[in-house]
Amino acid sequence: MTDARIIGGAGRESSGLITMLPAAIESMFRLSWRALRESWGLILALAILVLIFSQASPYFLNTLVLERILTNASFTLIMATGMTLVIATGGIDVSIGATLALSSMVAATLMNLGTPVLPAAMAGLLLGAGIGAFNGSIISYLKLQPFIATLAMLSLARGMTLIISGGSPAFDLPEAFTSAFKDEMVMVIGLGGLLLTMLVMHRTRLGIQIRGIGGNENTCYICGVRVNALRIGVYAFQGIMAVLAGYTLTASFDAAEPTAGLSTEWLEAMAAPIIGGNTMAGGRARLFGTLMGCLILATMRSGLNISGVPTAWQQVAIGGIIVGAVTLDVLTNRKKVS
Amino acid sequence: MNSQNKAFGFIQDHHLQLLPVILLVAVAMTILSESFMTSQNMINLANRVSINLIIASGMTLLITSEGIDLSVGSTVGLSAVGAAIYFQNGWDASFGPYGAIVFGVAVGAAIGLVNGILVALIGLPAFIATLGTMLAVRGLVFITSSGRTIMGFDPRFIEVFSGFTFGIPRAVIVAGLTALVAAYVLNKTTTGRLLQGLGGNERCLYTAGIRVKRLKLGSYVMMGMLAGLAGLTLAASMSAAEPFAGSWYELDAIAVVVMGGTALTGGRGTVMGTVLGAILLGLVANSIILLGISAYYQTFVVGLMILAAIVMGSPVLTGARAN
Amino acid sequence: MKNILTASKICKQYAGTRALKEVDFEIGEGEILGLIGENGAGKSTLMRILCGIEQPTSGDIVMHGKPVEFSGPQAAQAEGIAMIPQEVLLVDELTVVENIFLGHEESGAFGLSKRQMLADTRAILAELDSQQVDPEHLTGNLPKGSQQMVAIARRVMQGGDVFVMDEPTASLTGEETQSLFKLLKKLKGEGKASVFISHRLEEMLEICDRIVVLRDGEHVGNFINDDTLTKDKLVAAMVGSAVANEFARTVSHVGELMLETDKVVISTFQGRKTHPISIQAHAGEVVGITGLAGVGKTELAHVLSGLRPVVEGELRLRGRSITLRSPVDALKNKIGLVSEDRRAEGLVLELTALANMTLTSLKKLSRLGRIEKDRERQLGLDMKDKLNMRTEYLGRDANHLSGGNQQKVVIIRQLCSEAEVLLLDEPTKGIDIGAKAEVYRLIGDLVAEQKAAILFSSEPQEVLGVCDKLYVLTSYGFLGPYAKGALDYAGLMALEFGTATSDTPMEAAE
Repeated sequence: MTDARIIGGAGRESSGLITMLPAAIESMFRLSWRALRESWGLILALAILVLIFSQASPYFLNTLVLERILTNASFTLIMATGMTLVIATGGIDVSIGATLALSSMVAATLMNLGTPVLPAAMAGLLLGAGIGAFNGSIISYLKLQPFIATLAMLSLARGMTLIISGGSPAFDLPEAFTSAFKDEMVMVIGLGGLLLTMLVMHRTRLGIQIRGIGGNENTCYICGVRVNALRIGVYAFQGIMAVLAGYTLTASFDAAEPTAGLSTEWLEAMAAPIIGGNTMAGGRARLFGTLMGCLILATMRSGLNISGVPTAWQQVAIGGIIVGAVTLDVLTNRKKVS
Repeated sequence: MNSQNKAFGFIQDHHLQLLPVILLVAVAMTILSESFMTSQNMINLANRVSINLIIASGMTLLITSEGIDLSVGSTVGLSAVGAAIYFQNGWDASFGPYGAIVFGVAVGAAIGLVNGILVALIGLPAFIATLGTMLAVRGLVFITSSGRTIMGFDPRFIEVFSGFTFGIPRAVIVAGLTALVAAYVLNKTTTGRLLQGLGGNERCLYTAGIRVKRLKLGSYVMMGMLAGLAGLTLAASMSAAEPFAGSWYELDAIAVVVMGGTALTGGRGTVMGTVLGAILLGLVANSIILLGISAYYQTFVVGLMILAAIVMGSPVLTGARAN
Repeated sequence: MKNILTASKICKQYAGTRALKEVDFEIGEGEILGLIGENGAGKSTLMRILCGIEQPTSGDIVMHGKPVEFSGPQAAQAEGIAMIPQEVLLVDELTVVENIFLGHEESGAFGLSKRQMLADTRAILAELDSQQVDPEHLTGNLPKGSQQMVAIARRVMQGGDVFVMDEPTASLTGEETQSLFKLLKKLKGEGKASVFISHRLEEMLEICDRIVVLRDGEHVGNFINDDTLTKDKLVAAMVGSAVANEFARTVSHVGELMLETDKVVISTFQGRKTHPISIQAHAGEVVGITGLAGVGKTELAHVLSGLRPVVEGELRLRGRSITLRSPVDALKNKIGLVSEDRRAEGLVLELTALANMTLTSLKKLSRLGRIEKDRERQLGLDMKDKLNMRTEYLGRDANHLSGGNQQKVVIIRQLCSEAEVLLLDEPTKGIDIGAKAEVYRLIGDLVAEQKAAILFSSEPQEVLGVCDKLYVLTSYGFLGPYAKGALDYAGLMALEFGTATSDTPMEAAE
């Protein structure tokens, strides 16, 4: 008797393919328009960066450099897509770098032990999903702060990687594996993951509910959203994305490194969504912004490289960008933070 | 907190829960390894524990006030390199060898001030702000050291931190004093009371008219200074400043604070617990090496210990209210 | 007319007090029922029981002819109870349409049926005359009234047989209220029932078919709304016979003028500006500020303690103009606030009672930064004697004290820091009768020491009994001061509900 709907019961449109198509196209245009409206500042920033670097160095505007930027941006994007959802729920995951290293190492070790490529790669992905699900579970059920829970996981996974690898990289990976994750495949995975995630976030209820959790968990609970299950799913998804990123890194080095993902990679994956206009307080999932964040970071890095800025200064710059982006976030969303 | 007046009221029994574990590990190691109870091993152990404890004492106060600082490891590095550069540039000719101590601590204070401004004045989440400074400061370490290990410390400077007084390593004395002062501040002073209040209910302190921002700012500066001091101790114990010095120290410090029983949700902290946590962590790391187990297990074990500590301290399991 | 819901002999017992005494209550199909009573009369408790948020101590509920037991809000919802709580529960970061369908999203073969949901949202908003609300706007950016309309729309969209609305009109404008009434009438036409709580009697008379009056947890009146029913009759029923003045205290000598507001305008949580407020609080005087929910009492307390800015007008302390930028300034000027929400704002629950008492007077109790624990303890012991508090409570964590003792601790903090002007915001909310009496005695002792106390309270009996001088905040104006005895209970209610014009003598209590 509760579902007695009062309004809008009649005149329901049929959901046939013919009638859906224009609707889908229309909604695509609307989405692109919204993304542009939300992110024009980022596009402008990117354009200015490109302008500055092309003035600073004659070698900047060059297909090789651009390809490098796009590949680097795609690599960050793989993880940043998952992180965008985690941040949308109001959480954070600092363990992605360690998850990436562990799963890659496990998959590579399995391959070296003679396991066929597909099962070995699947095992790594499962492990990543499991780590994520574990993070999500202790955050949900034990009410731990996401940051500290994933920090413990960071330490665990890093230790496990060192134990399994004995501190040395795993070489000689099967061609079938490396070629599936190398070169242009990085872009395919990055963009594919992004588009798929966009589709889920815009076309299914999950999108609304994930943002809802970050906005007001209590209201979602009252409205019948399965808050804990959804959050666990989001962290598991983040785990899988971290593993995919790890595979591309492994393929490009032709080896699984025990220290992979431990320098600034995971920090950039956290910074990109924030630069892209997502807020630490949760409730927002601007995936196009995240893409722009990745492009800006990759452009910065390549540009600084070409302009002869030492790596150490680049690190200072990226630290500064993270703090700057979060400062901007806090100052523009002050109402929510207090 | 118990306000009964005891001579050592700030050393409280329920913070001693790690003591049996420590004794157990120590006894087991004495039996299992001949090299455990040697003076050389004890000195190594003491040095390791001391440097961690200097940072962790400050971190206890910070976490009690619901703050956190991830940049301490990088600060350790910059302070060590800073002291090395002090001698390299011959500044000791004008300011004396002990000026390096002031310089290293000042470097730490400056980083702490930046963190404090970001967290207290601008209002950034502490972990993300200090993550940013962690990265930036590590970059500065590489820039100032040109990525190389620097040596050439004045022996008088080294003597301050690595000599012996009454047969006790100086590093232990420095760390012990730091922990004592931290315990005193936390349990006996106005500042300590307000830090507990800040971690328990910041809104209450604010409405009551306490200068919350100043208090927070001060706590980050204090943390930076202690990380600077730890950096000097490290540099002196190795007679060198490496660009990677202090990496991951923040994790060790947070681990021992949590293991000691300080609540991550703020309001309750125990320096005594942190001391025991630091000893236990040092013991475990030392045991792994002595037993011939790969050093790689160390990181894993630290992770397990943090996980166990935070799970046991979870608001769901302890019945405390979540902040 | 068939009854949808019948509740009989509902009792609710809290520790020590009875909130509801054998209340009988029924709602018929297509009926709009009003529920009134002053604060603490038990209407919220009754609503919470109907919605399954609380369980009755005894009594039965029959719905659609079969007995039901609501173990929780979900169970009540499943039986067709639709609750619209006073607090608007929306996700600010989601759009209007996303909020309305949250947890009940509609999907087709190609994912979300966005157009369908959009059309349905437009339809229901049109139903509520809120076409101006863009369904694709973030709810967080909407005015409070529109947010309330969206929350109502969501509940109606999800359906139900009995709609329970707790003060739905508090944040609505006049037109929005009319639109809500239109919707209620439409629901009525479909045979659905509504229970409507409001302080605004004229609204009750306009929309309700029947009005039930509660007083002290008892069902004291049941009025069919015909032409003969008036506001005065309702107020009379709410007030009942003469009320004993149980909180009477001796009046102290009135000293110099302490805190004064000169035509101060503030903004309420709903974003409305109040009428200019001019109050004067003298040493040795308890000044009462009262009014219905949502008129700005707490906001005024916040303005006087530096938590909210003054929009217009001037604050003066001892005749000197002051600006309070933050609570730090208030503390410097010896103005202390006892917050309404002691757990969220008043106390550090992890600290002991003693540490909470001395939180703002540590400077006085310490030397070179070291707290002299003997002196702190002595101060605590002195204070505890004033309070009838057991010595062992001083060392206990604030979290483990009863509500009454917690409140005493917060008030004592102001005594310790020697505040000269005390702002007490609903100081007796949620504490038992014995603790209440002690809080009143404490306030009496305070003013006897030539301090000024300003009591912000929505309990008429409390302000009438305790205060030397009373101001009334209403939606139609700022009234007062009324000297003690100038107003009786019925008179105050008449002012609050706007049934009397302010022709009562405006004696200043100089």
